[in-house]
Amino acid sequence: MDDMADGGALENFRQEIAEMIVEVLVLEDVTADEIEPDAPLFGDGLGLDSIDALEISFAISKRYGVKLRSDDERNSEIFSSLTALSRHIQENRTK
Amino acid sequence: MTGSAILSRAPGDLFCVREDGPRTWGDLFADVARVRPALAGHDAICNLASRRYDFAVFLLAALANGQSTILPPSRAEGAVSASLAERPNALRVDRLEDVRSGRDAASVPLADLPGEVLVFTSGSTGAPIPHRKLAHTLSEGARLTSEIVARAGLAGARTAIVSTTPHQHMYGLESAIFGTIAQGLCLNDTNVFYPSDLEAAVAAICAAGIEQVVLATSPPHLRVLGEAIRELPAIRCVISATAPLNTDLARDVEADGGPPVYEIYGSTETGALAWRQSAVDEIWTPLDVFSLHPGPEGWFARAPHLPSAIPLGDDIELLEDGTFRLLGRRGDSINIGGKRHSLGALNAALSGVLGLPDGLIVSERGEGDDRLTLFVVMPADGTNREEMRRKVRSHLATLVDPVFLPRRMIAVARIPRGPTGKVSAADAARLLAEASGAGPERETGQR
Repeated sequence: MDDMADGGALENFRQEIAEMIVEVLVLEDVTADEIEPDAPLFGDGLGLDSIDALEISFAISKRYGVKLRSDDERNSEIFSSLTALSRHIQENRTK
Repeated sequence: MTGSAILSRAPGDLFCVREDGPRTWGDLFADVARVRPALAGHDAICNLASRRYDFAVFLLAALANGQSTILPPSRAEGAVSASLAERPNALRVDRLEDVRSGRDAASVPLADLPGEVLVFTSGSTGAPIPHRKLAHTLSEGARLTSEIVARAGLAGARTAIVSTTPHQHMYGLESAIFGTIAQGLCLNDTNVFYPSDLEAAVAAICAAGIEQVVLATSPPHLRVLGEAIRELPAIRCVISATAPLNTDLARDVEADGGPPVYEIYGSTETGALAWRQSAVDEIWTPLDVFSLHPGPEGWFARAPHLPSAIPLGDDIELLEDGTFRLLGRRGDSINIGGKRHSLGALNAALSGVLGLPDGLIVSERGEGDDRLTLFVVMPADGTNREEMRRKVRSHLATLVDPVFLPRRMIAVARIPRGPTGKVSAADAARLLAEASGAGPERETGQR
């Protein structure tokens, strides 16, 4: 997982995504640095039919031009952690 | 009434738009005949199919066999096994290609569908509750979808229905599945979730020669899909259900020549009951078979296709012409993301969190969704707030739908319980007021 040479850049970007999640989901009692980078983002077994995933997807398509699709087999990997989500956005962003 | 549940259509007519090629009504009936013997002999069928065509085939086969179809509130393993508690030997089905063809394919026509469907919703004690439906009950509910489509000036057979609600949910079952097999709309195979799913579904439908699309959705999805809807002129009608729709959102979608937005009022118990065009109507018009009656405990609905009078979850003002105005929700029911749950049950679930001395979940009515705040009394064993949050969330996640996990957690010295252990509405409101007076809680230096 840690094969990225430019770890610092990912870390900064991860912070940006964490702040976006806190803002989009109106997590009033969580700050961006409280989101553990490699812990599952959605509690236990929160699947992709969750409104949270929808809200996050909406925000990342607006801000980074990354569009998610339900039939993408990578979805569970993409949403598996903050690190994975940040990496996916960084690799696919058009904005 | 059971004879008319399913349409009889020419075998060559298009039934479903699907990625690997269209399915005709002839394909549907052939697949049902092929699958029926494979399902026969099982106690019940737990239909977990994610593709709508596969779901429809399994559903019709089980109905024709006179079997029970079980639809769990979600596909999560905990929810599935809890829904199967009384029928542990039920056959779980998902993909059509995994079911071996029956040798003596039954060719009995589908005129009569003696089976039943058990739609499970998350219950007030944690165990899911079954709601029993028959084919003709579901067909009647789908008639409202069909009437709305006609009102929007669309012809059923030339119109495909795209839905964001899973078909194991009552509204998805009625609109997308029975709207198709009983009311003649064209089925779309996939569930739509993201805006790009909607774009892909509409493109596939148009490529199959269908030019009109009706989108059946819910308020949280509509908010995110609004922009995509404006860019897809094939979407000629939008139907929203499962939670109150913000009228500004309805107006935004309709603005500048956008499609009309109709809202359906109903419940798992009644099915679709009434409609309105939210941007212009305040008043709801019930489906003609329903009548509404006042009772000592609130209003209830009757209809020939329902087995008994069913209490409404809301207070209403009934007008002389039979239409009504919605006044507000009754009791402790909370509604988030189009799902309902009892607040009392949520608090009962909270009391099972190990290592939490005391806690309380309080709900605030929001516009659209309700908002939940969790108050906790922290233990003296050094557990920090982040650990407590995870502990509570992971416990609740095994018992309730994730939408009911509170977003906000606030530590308090004590929960103001009265002599019977209950917290009065006034005390709960005071807790909330104090919490917002203090501003959003931020964790500082405890980590």
